[in-house]
Amino acid sequence: MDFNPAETFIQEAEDLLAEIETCALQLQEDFSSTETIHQLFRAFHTIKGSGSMFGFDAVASFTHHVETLLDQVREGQVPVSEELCSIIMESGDQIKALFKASQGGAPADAAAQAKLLARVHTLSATASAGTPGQSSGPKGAASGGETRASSSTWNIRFCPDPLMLSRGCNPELLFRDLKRLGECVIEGHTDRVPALDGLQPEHCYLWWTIRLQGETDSNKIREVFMFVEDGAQLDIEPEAALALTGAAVAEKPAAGGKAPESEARTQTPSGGAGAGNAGTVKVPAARLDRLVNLVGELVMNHSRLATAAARFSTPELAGPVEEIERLVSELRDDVLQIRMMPIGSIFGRFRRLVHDLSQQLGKEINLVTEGEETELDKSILDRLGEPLVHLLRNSIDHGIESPADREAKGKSRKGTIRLVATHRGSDVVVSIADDGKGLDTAAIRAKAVSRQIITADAALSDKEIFNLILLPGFSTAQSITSVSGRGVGMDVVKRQIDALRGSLTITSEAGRGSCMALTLPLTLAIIDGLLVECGHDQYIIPMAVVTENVELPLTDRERNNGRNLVAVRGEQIPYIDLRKIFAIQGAAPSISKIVLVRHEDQRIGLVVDRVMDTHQTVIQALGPFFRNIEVVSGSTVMGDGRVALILDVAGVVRLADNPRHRRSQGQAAEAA
Amino acid sequence: MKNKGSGYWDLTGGLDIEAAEVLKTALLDCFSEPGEIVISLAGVEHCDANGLQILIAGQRSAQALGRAFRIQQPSEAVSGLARTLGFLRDGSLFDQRQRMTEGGE
Repeated sequence: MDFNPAETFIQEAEDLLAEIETCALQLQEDFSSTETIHQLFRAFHTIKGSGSMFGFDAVASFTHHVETLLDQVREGQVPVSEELCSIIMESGDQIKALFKASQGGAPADAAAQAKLLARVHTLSATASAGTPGQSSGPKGAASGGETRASSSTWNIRFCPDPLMLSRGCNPELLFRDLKRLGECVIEGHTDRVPALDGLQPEHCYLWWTIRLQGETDSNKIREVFMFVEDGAQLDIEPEAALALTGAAVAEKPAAGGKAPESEARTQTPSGGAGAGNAGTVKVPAARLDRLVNLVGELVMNHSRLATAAARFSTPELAGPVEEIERLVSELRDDVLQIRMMPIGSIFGRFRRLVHDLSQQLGKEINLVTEGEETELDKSILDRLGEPLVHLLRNSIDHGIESPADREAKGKSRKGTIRLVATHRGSDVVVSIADDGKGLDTAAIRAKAVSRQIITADAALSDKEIFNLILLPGFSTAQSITSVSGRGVGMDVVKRQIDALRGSLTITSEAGRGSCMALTLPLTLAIIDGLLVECGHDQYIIPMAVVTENVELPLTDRERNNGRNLVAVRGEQIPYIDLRKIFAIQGAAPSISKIVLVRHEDQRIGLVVDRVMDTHQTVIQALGPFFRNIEVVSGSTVMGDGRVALILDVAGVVRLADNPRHRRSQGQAAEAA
Repeated sequence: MKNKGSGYWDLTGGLDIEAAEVLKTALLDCFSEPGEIVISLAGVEHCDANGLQILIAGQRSAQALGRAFRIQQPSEAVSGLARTLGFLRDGSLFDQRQRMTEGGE
């Protein structure tokens, strides 16, 4: 079996560290949240226990101290405080650093760790000075029924995940831990073990009922099973409750009894109702990427097969080719769906960013997130984090005013940043809106004039002025801070969004705030494209930007006298001749086609020889050698085996606007 | 696992996940011979839950085929684990119907 438990643990630890960060921020908002404290304790406990099991001794050793502190908080001996929340967050960072170090990364900062541990111990020491149960810790809140620690009897039913034993989890050690909580009567059940020929030797078919008597509570019992709870069914019930809950509970097996048939069926080791997330499989992203690429190859080869079948008019092939088309189409949709992930998976890290930066800048900011469940292809999500971080930093640094300034303007001290994801047609729109001071159009204009980007008398709309900040090196920040304002940001964000075939729209109102809206496709793996031809080359233009096609006779071109403008229903639209821009040899046809595309609220024409057809395109990434070609975002193989390049419209426009490119084109024309 | 003749098998070494697949095949081989199957666990040095399951599965197969299947002389490694995991009741392994005691028959 190709299974590396340590690798799986590292992935789980990453999830737990993200959970720790989220919980710490939640705790900061609500000191009385008992469940959050328990959640934090469990996360640290799991990291410590599994870390030790898989040889991450430094992680286990450090985490032990934080876990001890959290245990004191659980017991109500140490109160929840800002310092505690801060320690929890910094401990998460330290564990991340220790993991990186153990995987060959830079060594973790030992001095920082020592300081952090000193703070942990200082806080921990207050426990002995204080009176248990009198602090604002969560124990008082944890007084509901079964969680209360008192001498009681518990009936536990444990049906493990079928893979528990193959993961190296030993029930013997589990029961040894359980016996520490009190006197145990353990009864093993063998009724689910099949005959030899049906047995998978590594699977676990055994299950247990345990009667535990001692001064303990359900949380403590559950903690014993913490490492084996995934995919297992674990019922913990106080004996009194069993007696009171009547018939429903009576059907459950008492100690020594067998599971009723109906229940046994639903809880078989191979899954079932009690299996929880046993139906979830973690798969390395690289394997999914490979699967998507293979499906892409399959789609392209099916297209070639269909072309060949049509060319040779073989009726016997028509049926199977159609059936394969249906199957391939279903497979493609399912595989692409597997890679879809909720955008909330990257929202979590922004809470920490807002927390840290607002503290650093002395601002009070509330981050509101909406639409976390909105799904995007993982390949887009992976590349979306960086531009979103930049936009958030800008909002925090330049948008939201200091608390004093906000009060002076009659606003609440605390600013709000709203991070919202929504579906719009076949796109997803992610917006970052703040209620800060808004963009300063006068300052942007002055900067653009001083940099000779525009003339002093240029008539620009607000929208055009806002778009100036997307130009390379443009920054209106009065001083360069460590947060933002280095003047290398927004153009990079724009390019990153362009590379995702997305767009960025800026709206702003002075004194009321700004909104940056990113419109993104759901996936980068497949697009609807318009197949066009120039000379002998074929290109795909994404249909998402195509508005219409018009004809351009050669005579009209000559009449325009070198000005690349075409009149479409009274509107003068600039066009880019792909033959010229790609230096395609040979004569253009007497009537060319102009494909009109939308680019940043403007219509632009792309002149091609012929418009062939619409085409659902599986995008193949270009090799590293071609990665810097801006005008092309990928390629695809057509049914006849030819390669078509997928045009990046923003890149084509940038190339056409580039003065150096225009000069070289002029020289080429003169030479001709 | 050694065949001592007349359906008598001697299991030695590990009765655990490492040996589970091999033991499954070996036990299935036992059923290919006629007569009663007796397995001695006196030489088992190490045992885990997977190992116990193999023996239980052997019992199931025997029941299904109407064959006699006996486990005897479990070593301390086997009986200790069976006791901890709650499979040793009244001195018997796994099932009240199997009257194989720790000391043998």
